Amino acid sequence: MTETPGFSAEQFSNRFLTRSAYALLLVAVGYSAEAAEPYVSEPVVQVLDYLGMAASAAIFILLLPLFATYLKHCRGKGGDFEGFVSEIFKKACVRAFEVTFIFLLILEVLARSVLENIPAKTFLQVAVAVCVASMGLTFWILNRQARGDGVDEDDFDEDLE
Amino acid sequence: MMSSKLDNRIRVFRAEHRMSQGDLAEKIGVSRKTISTIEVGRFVPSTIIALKIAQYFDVPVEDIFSLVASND
Repeated sequence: MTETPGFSAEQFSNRFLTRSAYALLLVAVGYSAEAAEPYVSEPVVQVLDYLGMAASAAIFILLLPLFATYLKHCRGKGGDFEGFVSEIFKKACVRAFEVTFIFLLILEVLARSVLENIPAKTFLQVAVAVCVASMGLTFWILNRQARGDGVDEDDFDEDLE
Repeated sequence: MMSSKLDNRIRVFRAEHRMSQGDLAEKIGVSRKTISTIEVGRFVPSTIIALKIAQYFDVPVEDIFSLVASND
């Protein structure tokens, strides 16, 4: 595998996973905007359209350069990394499944009574938005907690000499 | 309930070898964040990573990692 000076394959993998998780938050914004469109006025629809386009452009900018580099340096090595970032990525996926499952159960009950006039398309858009948002948010929270521990310090500890 | 917590002495070994987290991460092929989260006990490493660390410092894995009882 080719190594780029200063970056290991795991670092590329970490960056890719981190940006993918944050891109999912933007995907959630796009789906939420689409789901809201039938229920808001025309000027707001235009704003939501722009918001959706901005989210799509941001995802493209966020991921494309890294995706190309990732393919170049880490192709075939994706399953080999067992570091902290891949661990919290997996945890976030599991949490997203749990949240989506519970949300769908609640939605199913509500659809029979109070939300019976809502089209199926809207339900799907909201469900996807909840799924990807919970994934992205869980990842962000777990990543943030690690920073809270002061784990980003990279000094040699003189006091342990 | 009595449970076990994984304790580690990576910080001590790093200091003895005058290494930063980044240096160790590079040597064993993981990211610095992985090393730092293992050190503070936030992340329990895989057996492979634990063995790589022990192998790098040329000590048995038990010298670096140990189980301690905790009352969580």
